[in-house]
Amino acid sequence: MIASVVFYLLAAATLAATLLCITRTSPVHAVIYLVHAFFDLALIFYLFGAPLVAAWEMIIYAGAIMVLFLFIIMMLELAPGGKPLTVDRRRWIPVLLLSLVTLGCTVLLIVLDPAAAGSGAAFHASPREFGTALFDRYALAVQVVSFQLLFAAVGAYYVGKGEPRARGDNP
Amino acid sequence: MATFETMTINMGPQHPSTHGVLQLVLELDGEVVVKATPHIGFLHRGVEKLSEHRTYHQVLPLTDRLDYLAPMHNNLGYVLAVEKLFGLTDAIPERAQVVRVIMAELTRIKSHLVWLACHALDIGAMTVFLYCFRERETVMDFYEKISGARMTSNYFRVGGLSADLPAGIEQEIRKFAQEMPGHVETYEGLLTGNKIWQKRIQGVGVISAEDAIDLGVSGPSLRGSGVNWDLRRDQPYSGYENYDFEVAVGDGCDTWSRYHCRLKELRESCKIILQALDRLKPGPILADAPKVCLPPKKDVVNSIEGLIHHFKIISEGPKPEPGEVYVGVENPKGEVGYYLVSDGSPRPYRMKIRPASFINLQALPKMCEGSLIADVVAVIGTLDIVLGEIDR
Amino acid sequence: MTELLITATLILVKLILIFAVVLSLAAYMVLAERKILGRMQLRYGPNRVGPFGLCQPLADVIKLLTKEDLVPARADRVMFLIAPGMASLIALLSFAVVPFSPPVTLFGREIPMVVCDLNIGLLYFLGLSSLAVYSIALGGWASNSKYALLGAIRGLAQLISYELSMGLAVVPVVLSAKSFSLTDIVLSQADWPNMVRHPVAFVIFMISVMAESKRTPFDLPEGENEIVAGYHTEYSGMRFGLFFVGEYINVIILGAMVTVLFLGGWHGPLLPPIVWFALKVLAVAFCFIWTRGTLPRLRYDQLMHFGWKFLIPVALANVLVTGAVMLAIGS
Repeated sequence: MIASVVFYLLAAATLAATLLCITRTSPVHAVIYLVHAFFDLALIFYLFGAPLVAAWEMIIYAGAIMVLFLFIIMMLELAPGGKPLTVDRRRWIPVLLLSLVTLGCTVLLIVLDPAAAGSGAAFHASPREFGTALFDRYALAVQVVSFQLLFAAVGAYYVGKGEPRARGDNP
Repeated sequence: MATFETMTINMGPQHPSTHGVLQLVLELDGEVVVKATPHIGFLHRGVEKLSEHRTYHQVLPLTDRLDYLAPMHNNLGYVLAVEKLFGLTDAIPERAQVVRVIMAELTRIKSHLVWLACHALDIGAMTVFLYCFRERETVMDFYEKISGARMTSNYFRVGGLSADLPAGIEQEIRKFAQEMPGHVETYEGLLTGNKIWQKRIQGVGVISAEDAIDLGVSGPSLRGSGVNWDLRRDQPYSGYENYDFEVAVGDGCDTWSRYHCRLKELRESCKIILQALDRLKPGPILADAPKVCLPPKKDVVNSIEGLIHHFKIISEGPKPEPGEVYVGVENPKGEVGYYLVSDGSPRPYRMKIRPASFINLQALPKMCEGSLIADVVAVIGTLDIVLGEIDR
Repeated sequence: MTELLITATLILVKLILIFAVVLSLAAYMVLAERKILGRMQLRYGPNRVGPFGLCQPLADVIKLLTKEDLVPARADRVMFLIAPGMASLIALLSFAVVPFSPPVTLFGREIPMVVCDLNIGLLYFLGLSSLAVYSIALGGWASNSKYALLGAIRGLAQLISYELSMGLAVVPVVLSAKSFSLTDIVLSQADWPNMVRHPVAFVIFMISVMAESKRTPFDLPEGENEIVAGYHTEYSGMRFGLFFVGEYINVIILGAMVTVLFLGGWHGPLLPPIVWFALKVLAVAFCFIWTRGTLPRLRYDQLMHFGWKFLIPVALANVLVTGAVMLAIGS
């Protein structure tokens, strides 16, 4: 019961965050809402009994890819809004609401620990099972995808090298 | 990215590592410096103009405040210029000459210690800073005992010294000069072998010998580029020709090479001090030129001649022949020169100072354009500039 | 339902305990750092407030709280105000998975000495440490100042790069413990700490952890001699304090992680486990301070080169070799 309440709460929060993300004018704000959506998604994964996927959602999407987005935005020097400073308290409402929902759900999850209790877990994916599936059953698919990534990396390197700038090759 | 927009930032005049009130306007492409423009003048006090309204004796305290990290060497350059103007150069007693050399070399040690301390701190090595300041404090104590002041010593006088050395100071200085090379070893132990330190200063702030000469760079910054030029040896003054010392030259043209030059100078200074202490004999400390040199207080209160000379010098000031002189001395930071023009009045018609830091600063854009913002800090450190001297 | 309540209460109690201990420890880390650095540099360090300066953290907090909380004009207000809190919060959250000692039996109930023994505890820690970037990035960006922006960009690049080598360095540990749970990892080190079994990984992890905590020689995001104070240039008062405390909480959590992953956690002879744990954490923290007193700062490009061209390849090779050896031994 509680698990499904948590799920719907999180799902709503994810949707809201995503909506807010695509309606923001400031790219940095959009990134933050997207990160928030990833957060909620990770919690949903955890709720479903897939802690490994949840962790990777955080580490890779929220922790690495979005950080790179942010990096690019900063490099392009999009300074914070040129609007005059008005202390608009309403701007805090979505931030607070979303944070409260996510925090509350996190606490609930920690206390309930549905993955351990087995209640509401749609499927069970411990790191071990996940690894077996990835590198045994779908080994070929994984290899193909990783080769594609390798091509992409080489391509990116080639494109990046084309810049006629004399400076240390910053990754 | 197709855009080549640069970001302009003001580094200073309030910035932790611009050594005073230097302002650098940096144009950055990411972290790469495209253009560096030094803006100076925040500490301008008009020393050159002020000196036109003072007698030759009264100008002396102003020179302390040029390179405030090496006051005695500034004094030395000025008194040598005035002595040349008055034709006293050969009349300076031996003891005064030797004490001048001792003090000048102590000053060099003191100034180089501040350089090393700040240079290391700018690159992030905090501990060296305090180690250097410990030794500097010893030199400061000598300063205080000898001249009464820690920074603005005003100890030399036209014709000699303002007072003799206090009793017992010679042993203390000797002890210090013997221990100092060991302290230099300590600093080297923290820095020279350190891979990060090497990486931070090797190949950074490169300036070729030709460029350095063209820009008028002098001192260790010039010698680090492989130019073997030291006024103490090549145009000796104050009896430097009597001492046996090596001129530190490095041919790396980079910050690393200048670092080694200055460290070697620290050691050579100790050698010179020890030799000078051996030469130190009792004797007069003031030239026998009563119309120019301020008489000792004892003579002023005891003899009528002393009183008259004192009165004449204080109320009117000694008058040199019309003419002009230039004397350059090897300051810790480079060549500091005093160009004096006399029209026969008791005040200089014009005093032009050739400051080492001001001219060395010209090399800064050349040395740091194209490098990273962190290198700018290393270059400021290696040029060893002092804003008091740049702005005068 | 009572079972649930008891669990919740226990977690709450543990949380409060950890908060109290970690926060006061962080405050005293600041003092310890100033004292130790002082001694290394022929100074005394703070010694005026209270005996041996022990009340100094309190005085600092009062000072910071009473200072004006400036927000620069044209800054992104919300972001600017939130960012410092994030720095401390994320660092604190990591403690949820750190096991301090073996389970204690109290009133016939076995209480694990960890807030939440996630079976992916290690990944949870890595995830949080990758989120730590945001406080720097957003704080620096929202300040709308060039030095802060430079600091933020440096911080972003540095943390992302060194997270990779940090993640790779823990792989051998996971391989030998066969679990992501930190408790299991500690248990697997009952006879040998991982430091002995995986020395290369240990060194890589230590270096990455130093980079992760943004301390000398990796303090580029706040390298004061170059970019004033980096990402927190524009912060004042307690908001600066939060960044500052966050850094020290980070030092403690990273010290705890080094202890758990490589130094054998609570294992040790004679002394009670919790004491061993504390000692090891403090020893790592001392190493951090010691390094700060000794090393100069790397340059931005050198930092990147070191991370990408040296640490990551070595860490990868280490993973391969460890894996191969373990396969060969058949353990």
